[in-house]
Amino acid sequence: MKRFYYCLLFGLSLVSCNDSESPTGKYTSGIFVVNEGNFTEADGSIDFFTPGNSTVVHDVFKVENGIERGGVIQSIFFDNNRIFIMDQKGNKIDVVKADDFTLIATIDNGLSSPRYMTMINGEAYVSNWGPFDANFQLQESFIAVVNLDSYQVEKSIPTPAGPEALVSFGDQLYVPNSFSNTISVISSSTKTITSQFTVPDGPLQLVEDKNGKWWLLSNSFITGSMLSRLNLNNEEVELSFPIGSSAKSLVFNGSADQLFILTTPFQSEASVLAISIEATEAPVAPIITGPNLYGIGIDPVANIIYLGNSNAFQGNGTVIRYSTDGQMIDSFSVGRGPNSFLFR
Amino acid sequence: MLTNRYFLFIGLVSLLTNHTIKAQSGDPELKDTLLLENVDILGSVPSKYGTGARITSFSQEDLQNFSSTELANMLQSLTTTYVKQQGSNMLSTVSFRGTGASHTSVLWYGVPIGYPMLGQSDFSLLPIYFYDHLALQHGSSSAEYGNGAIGGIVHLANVRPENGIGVQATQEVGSYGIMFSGLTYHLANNNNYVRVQLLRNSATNDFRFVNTTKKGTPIERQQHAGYRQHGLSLSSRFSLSSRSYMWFSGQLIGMNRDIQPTMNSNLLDHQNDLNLRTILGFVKTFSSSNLSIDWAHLDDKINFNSQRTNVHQDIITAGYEWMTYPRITLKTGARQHLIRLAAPFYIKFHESEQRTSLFASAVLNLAPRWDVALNMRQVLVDGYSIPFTPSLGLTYKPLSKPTNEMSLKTLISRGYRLPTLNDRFWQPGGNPDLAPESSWNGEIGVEGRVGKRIRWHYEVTWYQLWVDEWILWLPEGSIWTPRNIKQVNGHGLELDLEMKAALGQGKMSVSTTYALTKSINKTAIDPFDRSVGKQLPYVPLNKGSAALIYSYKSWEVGTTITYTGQRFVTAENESSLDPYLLVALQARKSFVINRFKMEAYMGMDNLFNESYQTIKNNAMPGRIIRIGLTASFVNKPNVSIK
Repeated sequence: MKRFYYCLLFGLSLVSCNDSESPTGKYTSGIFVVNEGNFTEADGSIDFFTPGNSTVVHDVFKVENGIERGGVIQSIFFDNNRIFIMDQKGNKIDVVKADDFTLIATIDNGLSSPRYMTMINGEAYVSNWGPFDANFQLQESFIAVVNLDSYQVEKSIPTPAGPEALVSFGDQLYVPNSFSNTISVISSSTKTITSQFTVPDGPLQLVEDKNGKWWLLSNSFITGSMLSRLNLNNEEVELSFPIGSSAKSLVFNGSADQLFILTTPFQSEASVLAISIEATEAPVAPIITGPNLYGIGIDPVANIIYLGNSNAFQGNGTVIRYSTDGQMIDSFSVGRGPNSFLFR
Repeated sequence: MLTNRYFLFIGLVSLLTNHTIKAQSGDPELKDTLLLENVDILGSVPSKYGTGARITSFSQEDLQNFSSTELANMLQSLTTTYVKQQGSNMLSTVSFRGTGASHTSVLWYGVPIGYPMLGQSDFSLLPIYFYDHLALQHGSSSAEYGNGAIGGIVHLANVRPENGIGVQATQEVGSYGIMFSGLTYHLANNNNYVRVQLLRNSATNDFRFVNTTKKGTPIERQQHAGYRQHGLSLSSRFSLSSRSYMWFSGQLIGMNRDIQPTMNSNLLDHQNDLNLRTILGFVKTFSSSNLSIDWAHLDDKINFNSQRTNVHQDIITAGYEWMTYPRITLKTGARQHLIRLAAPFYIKFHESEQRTSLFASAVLNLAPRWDVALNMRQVLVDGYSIPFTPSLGLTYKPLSKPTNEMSLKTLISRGYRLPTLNDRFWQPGGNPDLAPESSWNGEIGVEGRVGKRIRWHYEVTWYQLWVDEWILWLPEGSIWTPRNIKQVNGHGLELDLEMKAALGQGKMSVSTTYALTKSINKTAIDPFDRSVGKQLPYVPLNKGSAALIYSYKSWEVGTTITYTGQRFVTAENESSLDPYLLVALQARKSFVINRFKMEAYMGMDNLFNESYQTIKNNAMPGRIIRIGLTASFVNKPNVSIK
């Protein structure tokens, strides 16, 4: 089952993704759409799209568990036939079986605005923003270490402000601290920050290319958005170039040699930039533009781009599918504020 | 600090009391006093210039079953407005005729008391105990009431107390730690009065609710929703001569709340509100005219999780009204409105704004059965082009017998709303280039009264409402920014039916309302928007209420039934909240011993434990029981007014 996860990350070939164990659950082949939800109503949900027959199951959690859990869902994480739902407003993580989405456990102690999760050695690490203080600053951000047998938070590791989409590499964790210009390195054995290095302002997200290099997306109100190539072995920023403003999210294609970046600049339409791992500067023109784009994903097998249109949170959203050269394929309705995708 | 102010006011009251007793001079001035009583305090509702509008007003008697609660509950139960509540006694907003919360203007003695940063009022911060006159005017009425009167207005005031000395104390306890104490003192004669009220209202508010977001939908106790409110209110009037008087009203209300989180979260927000409102007025009558001037000072402080904002407003209004002809009454005037504020997250920490309004109104009795009212207002604000707002109302009375009177009426009116201070100055995202929102409202209706032993009052209204340049906050990248984007067309039907009858030794009254509200979005914000042609979120297509009161000797029993239809949560109507029915019961029994009156009462809200939400995932309480005792003492003087 872990191979699905590697499929997602490294984009192996179609054949290798066809798991011989052939799972039989309802949600074993398709795409989960994470609908963040509106803050006032906390009405987030997760939909499931099956590309073969273009069907959508809305609010899978409700369908399988009989209740609308809602929440403000920042992200979901898949591992070992479990899906973890990071509920930022509920300060909790619901754990469901990936195949049938039935609720296994709820982690609701020791979390504060949980954002993203990753795993090393069977332990989960969850980035938490903590509360905003009176000056709208984050002073209490941390990484929660979660025991996945007891579903208890076992340790909190304080970090600089605003830890985002952390990743594991080797025995270490790399945490982009989005309210700063640093990445913190956490050792999975000592569970402490062992070092910290400087990157362009506002680091958000890291993804690994086919050569084992990591690409970092940063965004700052002041200096704009930057794309950087990192060598995590020696904590070196090898290359950095600007990519406009308000970059939101980046994903790799199936072969991990082309990046797709969603930027949502102020007072103009959102756009998707396609950038080869050989590039040293931003492309002249985006491959896709459109209003209210809020999330991006790529089907690593079919190489289809999925874009979430949030309808500016006034109503439910839409997912629009494009080929990697920017041709629109089709669209389907989803819940409120589609912000990310999980491909199985 | 609050107690210090209490003492200050009590001191002030004793001073005034002496003055009042000395000023008690008896009959000669009575005639002029009554003439003075007929002069509207500027902007009071219903006013003679509101011809053609649908106005629902409530007396002290209508409000008594709600007197220990905030305005939000009562409006939800008895009117055709929709009240969105972020929980029990939490932020509550009111919308009329399918418009938004910021399209409701709240007036206190004709002065707008909405919070200018948000352009809204929180109806959970307005204790009914402090108001004995409440009126709603439905539809756009910026010509009469200025900024924000797009969907409707809520008017709050006090009426003069009975002559003599009155003291009344109320103590109530209820479910989930409800504890209400109220004290009222008044002293009044024909010329002068003073009334002082104190209240304290609190609850642990740990009500039971069905958590629909948790597996097994368990019944849980609400956490982190307690509140504590203190208030002081003063209203007074002093004759200066037989033809002039001054009046003063003031309120200091503090609310300290743990903010109730949504049922699927455990946020621990905390908010303190402190609202100081004062108004000082002067009225003088001449042979066929009168002059009215008032100055209001409003001071609103909010402390949300230690983030403090502070707004001061001064509003000076002057009006002159005269009867140029036996059949024409004219009013003209001006208002100067100064706003100063201190807020973090604004482009400048201190902002200020001046607004100048010029207005004129006329009522003409065209022919014996015909009345026409024309209102006009132009507001001037630096950097804004604000539409000229007129309104024209007409009534025709085909029947005017005491036992059968009927009016046919029509009204066309305009509304506008300035972008709020947050809309313009919030950092980041504030948009200084916004235009004012604008609306047109047209309606026709019939209203009448029939019967002698059984008195019926009926009103049927059909309206159309067009709102344009509706401002929405939309995300642009990681910044949310307001834009003039939405256009909404609405129409609807409103029914009011009341009956009052004497049944043997008892009396019965029934009051029902019904509204059919269509409020349709006309704008797509992007090509994938599915909301065009759909009902706006949180606008029930159907809402109805019935209040029934039966009194027999010293007993009174009553029930209130409110039905609220399905409301959509999202703009494209894919997600909705279920309809709900709330039933409340009240009973009271009074005992009179000489000049003392004791009244014991009991109330039950949400009798059938209906699980409902007015905003998705915000829990509302099940059954609540309240028990209270009111003791009053009245010493009426021998002078009676004929």
